[in-house]
Amino acid sequence: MVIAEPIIETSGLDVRFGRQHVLRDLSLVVPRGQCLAIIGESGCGKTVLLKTMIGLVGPHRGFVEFDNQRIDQLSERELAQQRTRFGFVFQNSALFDSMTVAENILFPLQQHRGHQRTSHEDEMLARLAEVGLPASVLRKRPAELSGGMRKRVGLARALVMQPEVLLYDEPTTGLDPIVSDVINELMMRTRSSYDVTSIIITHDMKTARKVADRVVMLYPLSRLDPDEQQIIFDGKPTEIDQTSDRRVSQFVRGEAGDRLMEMREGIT
Amino acid sequence: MAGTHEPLGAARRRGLFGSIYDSIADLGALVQRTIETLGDMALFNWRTFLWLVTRLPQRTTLFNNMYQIGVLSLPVVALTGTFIGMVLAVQSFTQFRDFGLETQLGGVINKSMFRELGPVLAATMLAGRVGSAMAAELGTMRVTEQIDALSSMGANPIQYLVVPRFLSCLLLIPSLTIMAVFMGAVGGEMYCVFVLDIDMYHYTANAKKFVENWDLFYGVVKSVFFGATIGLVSCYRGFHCEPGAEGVGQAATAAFVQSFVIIIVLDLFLSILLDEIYLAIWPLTPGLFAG
Repeated sequence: MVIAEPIIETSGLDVRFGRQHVLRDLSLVVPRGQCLAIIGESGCGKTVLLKTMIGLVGPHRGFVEFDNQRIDQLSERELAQQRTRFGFVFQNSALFDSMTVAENILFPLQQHRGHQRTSHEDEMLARLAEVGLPASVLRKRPAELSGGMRKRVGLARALVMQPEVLLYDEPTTGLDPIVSDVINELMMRTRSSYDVTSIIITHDMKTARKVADRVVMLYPLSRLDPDEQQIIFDGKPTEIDQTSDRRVSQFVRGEAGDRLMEMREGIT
Repeated sequence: MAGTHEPLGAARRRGLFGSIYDSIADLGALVQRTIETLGDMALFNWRTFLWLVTRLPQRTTLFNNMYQIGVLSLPVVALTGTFIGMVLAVQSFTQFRDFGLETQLGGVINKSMFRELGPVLAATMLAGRVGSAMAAELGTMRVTEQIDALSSMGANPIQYLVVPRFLSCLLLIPSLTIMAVFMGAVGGEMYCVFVLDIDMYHYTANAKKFVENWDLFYGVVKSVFFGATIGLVSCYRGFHCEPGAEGVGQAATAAFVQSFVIIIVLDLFLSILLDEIYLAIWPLTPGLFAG
């Protein structure tokens, strides 16, 4: 089996916010072309990890390498240039609410390729068609769209620069099962048409099983011993059901278990 | 799995010595936070100035901000200026009439408007209208990850969001101050002439006599600093907004309060400095009521 070269590599990442320790000595290698799902309970540092990968959060210790370049050693201009190779789909889409859908999708193109109106508009319409949205939404503001439509506009905006890596932060959270499945299909289709590396943060095991070819599970540091690794599962989606780790199976099955007891103790 | 939970904060100590120890620790933490904030603010301002000289914002973004900050503030600033001029007339009239100096009211009203009340009240009004709005808008963008989205697309949020707002405040707040001062002078004169029956010819002549170009310059220089303060403080507060609706509200309030405090402190020091400059250039100055 040929293992693709790594496109993103985190090495000994340590991230803190004041007294709160979020990531500890976290090392992860993402090969080019892989679709990786990062799962874990709320507050375990999944989104922080994703933001650290693109340099939006600076680690306390350790580093991130993108395409064999340490991103902490890049200048502001070089980092901005590297970021154009990423597409980021945010949890709540993070569309600019002062702009229309068209302006949102065009924004990255205008920032990096100037104002060439015709070619940009063709590009925008092509991306919009790929995410299955009609041209009638172009003049609308994000506030006028449904959650699923906003996610799709977010995906179109992320795709417009034809990125090499797509980062999805909880792409199906807050959506109904049908729209969630539409988003899953879009992620799969995007991966095959663009040959991108995808990293998906999700709580949704259906998404992880359907879209990913590797699943990594993070565990909150507050529940770990100082010498324990934060990654408690790293394998194929098919292997996750066979794991003997109770913490993983509890998450996969969605069982509260001892947490209910903890909650009751916390109240009393 | 051990299940050891990390403490969310350091445990408080018991007893008298424990309380003293905790108070000292809290004070130390406060000092540390203040120094961190000041350093962070200085860096933020430095980066804003750096972007201002390296790459100007897009014309459409700048004009949009200028419209929001300048044009939409015009009515409220003009109204404030007019009423302040009239209130000055009401407050000063009785005392001036007792000395038979009511025609000199123009000098007092205009001098106060040009040098002090115009710039400070326009800045206070704009810190409330423009500063809070900017902090709330940027705060909402921070909370909804729109600022992160900008960065993730390789755009610089300071260059794209802060520089146009700062530049608009820097250029338009002095213009709005001139408008407030003008309206104050007009309001004061209208009230004196039409309500208090002061002779228009003498009022205008005295007003002209006591107000110099320096007074206008004095007010405008102050308003440039006030504009820069509102722009930088409000953008900083918005950028460093805490999560949630409460965080956005706090950012908007902090933007106004901090801008206002800095404005009145700056006002004192700028007044001293500008008076010193004036005395250095023109050492013999006529008194207000000198022939």
